[in-house]
Amino acid sequence: MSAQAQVTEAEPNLSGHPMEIWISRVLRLGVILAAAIILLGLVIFVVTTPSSGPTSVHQLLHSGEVSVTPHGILRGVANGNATSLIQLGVLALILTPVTRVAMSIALFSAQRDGVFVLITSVVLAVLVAGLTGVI
Amino acid sequence: MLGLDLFVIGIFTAAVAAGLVGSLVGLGGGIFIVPLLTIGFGLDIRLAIGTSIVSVIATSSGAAAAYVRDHLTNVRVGMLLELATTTGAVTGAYVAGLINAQILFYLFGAILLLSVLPLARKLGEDLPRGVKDDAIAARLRLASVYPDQALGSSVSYSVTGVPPGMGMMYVAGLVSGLLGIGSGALKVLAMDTAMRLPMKVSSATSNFMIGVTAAASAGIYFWRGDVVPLIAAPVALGVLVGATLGARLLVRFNNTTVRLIFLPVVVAVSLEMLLRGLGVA
Repeated sequence: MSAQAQVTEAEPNLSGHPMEIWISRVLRLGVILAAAIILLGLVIFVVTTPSSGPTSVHQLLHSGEVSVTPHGILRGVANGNATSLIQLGVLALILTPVTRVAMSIALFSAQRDGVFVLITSVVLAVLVAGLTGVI
Repeated sequence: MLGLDLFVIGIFTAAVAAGLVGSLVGLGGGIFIVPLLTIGFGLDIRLAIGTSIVSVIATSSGAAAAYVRDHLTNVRVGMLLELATTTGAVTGAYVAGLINAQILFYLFGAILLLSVLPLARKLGEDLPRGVKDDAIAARLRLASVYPDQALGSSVSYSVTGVPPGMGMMYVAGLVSGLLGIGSGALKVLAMDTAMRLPMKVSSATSNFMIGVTAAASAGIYFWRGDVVPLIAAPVALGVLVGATLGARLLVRFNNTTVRLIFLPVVVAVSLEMLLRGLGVA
């Protein structure tokens, strides 16, 4: 099998580019941080005896107590609520790839690549639309 | 200990196993989460999907970092295709909230069964030959180079078939948002057959995109209340552990042997999901 093995002057595709590696590190850190928050929330739940909140699987699924508003979650975290803490961690996890896309816009901008700034911005817009419940 | 505590620990353990088998088979850690939660724990399939899509973000992001470092990912192609995958994912997540749960079971079983096919035979050529950039690829400068360790040199490649690639990516995103899986197999298929990218580049770029695609739909599931924290937490953590273990183990074992062992499991699970969808099980 003959490969086209040549070192070319092909346009660098950013893979391995210092800033792209930095973006990947942020990605990894984001996952670790999010996982840590989730773990903390889970540990708090298992270790403490909750005075409120679900005490059985049935209650868990049918109590409708889980607050799904940003305000509710932040309030819960301030109260040390295990469930709210987990929700915060999940949000952090979802935001990690979003952050990566946002940073890529900056990278393409630094490269003066207008078309890809546009492309990446549209991707970010779709992500944000899903996240803010516009859809 | 509350019954709920035992439940959480049980789910964690099961998720570790699911992540392990999933990564050993090469389908990704998340493919078994939905079947596990629905068939194994009797949960509503929409909750299962919401949980699964969250864990997909966790497992894929770790792998993606490594591929970029290794100069295998084509970031430009990935970003361009993400236009299609994210819009597909958002559509899928939205539709999942509307359609009958039974249909979701059926679709899941069908997709799972279809994912087995590329594994059962070697997919595509390692190094496509005679590929030329198509108009869009040339305009956007998508062509690139990657270091092939097996060959010991850098290999340059072109990119073609961008429109059909985008179309397939939309479908991959749709499936991902609808069923809570990474759709890595579909993404690799699109890049390999439609766009004629080298195999290693396809795999790396697919991994790069999975997390973003999953994030597009995860937000919708989250605000819809389909992500139950006390279920999502042990699952996400468990799959992370399982997939990491699986990746380590995979290095030691022969790829083919491992797949031969676990493929029947995948087939059995997909059949069960299909039966549920048809209202039989």
